[in-house]
Amino acid sequence: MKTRGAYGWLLLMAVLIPLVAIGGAGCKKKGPKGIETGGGGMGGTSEGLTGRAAQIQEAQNRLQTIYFEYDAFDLSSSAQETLRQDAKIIEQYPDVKIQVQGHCDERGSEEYNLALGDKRARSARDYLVNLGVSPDRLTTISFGEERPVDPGHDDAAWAKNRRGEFVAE
Amino acid sequence: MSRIFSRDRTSMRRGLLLLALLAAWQCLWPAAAAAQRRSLVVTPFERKFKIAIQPFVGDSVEASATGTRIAQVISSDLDFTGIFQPLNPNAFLEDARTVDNIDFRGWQTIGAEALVKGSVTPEGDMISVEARIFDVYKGSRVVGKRYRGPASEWRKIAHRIANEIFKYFTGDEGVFDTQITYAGKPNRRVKEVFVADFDGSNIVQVTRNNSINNYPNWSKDTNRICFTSFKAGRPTLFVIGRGGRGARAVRPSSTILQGAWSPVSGELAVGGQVGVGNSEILRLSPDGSSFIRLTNHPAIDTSPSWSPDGSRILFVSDRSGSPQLFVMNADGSGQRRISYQGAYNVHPVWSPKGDRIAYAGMVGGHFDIFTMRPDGTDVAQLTSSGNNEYPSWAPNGRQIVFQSGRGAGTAIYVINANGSNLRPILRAPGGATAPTWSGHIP
Repeated sequence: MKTRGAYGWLLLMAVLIPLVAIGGAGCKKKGPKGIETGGGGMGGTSEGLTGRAAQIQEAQNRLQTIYFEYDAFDLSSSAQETLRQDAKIIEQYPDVKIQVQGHCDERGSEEYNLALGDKRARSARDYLVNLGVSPDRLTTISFGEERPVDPGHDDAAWAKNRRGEFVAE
Repeated sequence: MSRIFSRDRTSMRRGLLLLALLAAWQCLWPAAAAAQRRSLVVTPFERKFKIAIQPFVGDSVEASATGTRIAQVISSDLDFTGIFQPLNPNAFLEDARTVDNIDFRGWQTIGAEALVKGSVTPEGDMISVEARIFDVYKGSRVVGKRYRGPASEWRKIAHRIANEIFKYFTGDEGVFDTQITYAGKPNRRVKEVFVADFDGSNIVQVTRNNSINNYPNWSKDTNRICFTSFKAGRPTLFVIGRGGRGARAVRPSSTILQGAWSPVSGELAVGGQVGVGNSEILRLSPDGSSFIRLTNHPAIDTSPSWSPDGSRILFVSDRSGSPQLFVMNADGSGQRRISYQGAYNVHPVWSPKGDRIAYAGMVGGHFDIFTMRPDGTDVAQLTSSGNNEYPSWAPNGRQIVFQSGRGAGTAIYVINANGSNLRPILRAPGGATAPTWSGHIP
């Protein structure tokens, strides 16, 4: 009797826990969006996630960052190629929304870079829309210089920080 | 007399010399007549005005201790300006209690040009502080004032006395009752708004929302600070009380990158996307409900700041290819570029005196602080090493606060408008950036 009861509980948990995980994970997180850099997403692996949460995780893992020249917001041919691939990925996850983030390196003025990051984000967003991604799946935000991926003070670090990132949500 | 006006050459020269001397004397005469009070005219490398500040005396040990502290604060304040040199009290020969029959000649021999004496008298929880300023060369007392306040606010009284001394000798208001607001990083992921006294002391954290908060700016009455925050997701403008209470978004539906209060009305000039997707300069009503769009250009237009009379607005635009300084009338008309030196110029701020603009200009990969006339002429470079950005004027237009350094090493410095008296004010782990000088705090 006891054993069967224990199995019953196990079965219940096995059903309930994933449901709770999906429900919880599918809810909009409170607090500022996009504070995590792209690639962080919802967690390290897709294990245990199903439904939309898994979609978001997968999309996040596959989307590639694009890079910009100094003080520029136009898209290089390499950036355009990356965006073409990203657009295809986005189309494969129709329930996922994408926040397009613009970032700058530390060298220019912070205030100007906040605006420049915004132009980078919109540049990438507009290109995706031109490739057929529905505009209401895309939002843009600039972080200016505030969120470098590399805290270094050299060309290599700066090149990594001048970027457009895609956060699945 | 006829000799002077004869046609002989030597006499001509003599005559001309006499005329020149006469002319020079005529020029000096009005100045001499107006010199009821001393007036400091400071040029770089000019020697400082030497002032002796004796410890303020008191009858009790506690009152004496307060008096000593008051004198020290007055000394530090005047030293901060870079135009006074408080003399070392160890050189003082006269008793601080002596107020009659002051040995002015003795003070002259140690180089003092002015002398400050005072006393502290406790009155319950209050103190009464008397300050006397003497002009050593005149040999007389020129200012006598009494201040009364809570004993715990002795520092505020000291600052008031220092302001009085500064005003007497320069004609300008002192800055010892002002503060600086800036952005600091309590940890790597977060940036918050802080406030400190003009000299970097008494640091207080104003925002605590664990987000990115930046570009704080003072209201005219110094009671509120507006700042850009990411706490609601996208950057927008918030207003908060100086003490950290009552934060609210001005126009939560709009992305706003920077904001600055008009010096004459409650309006805010902002750089942001209000009604359009491009960063433009706009004027917002105090409650954010309505706006007037001032720029209309696909370029980045950002970083607005007002003229002291509220009639014009400076801003940064890259419409000519790279960030440069522009000015326009407060209604958006008359937009014209004013910076023509250097390829990247940002953060223009108008001196409260109205006669100059400070800004940050990029020179060989780093920024330096410059000033120029509002029409763009007479460019002067104030700093020359390090990476120096984000200037802000003291309310008397004599000094400029700015940030220097990179990343977590960025700290806040002050420099005089003529490029002298560079001094560090504030550093913090994680960096201190975006300083803005307040008006006088009542």
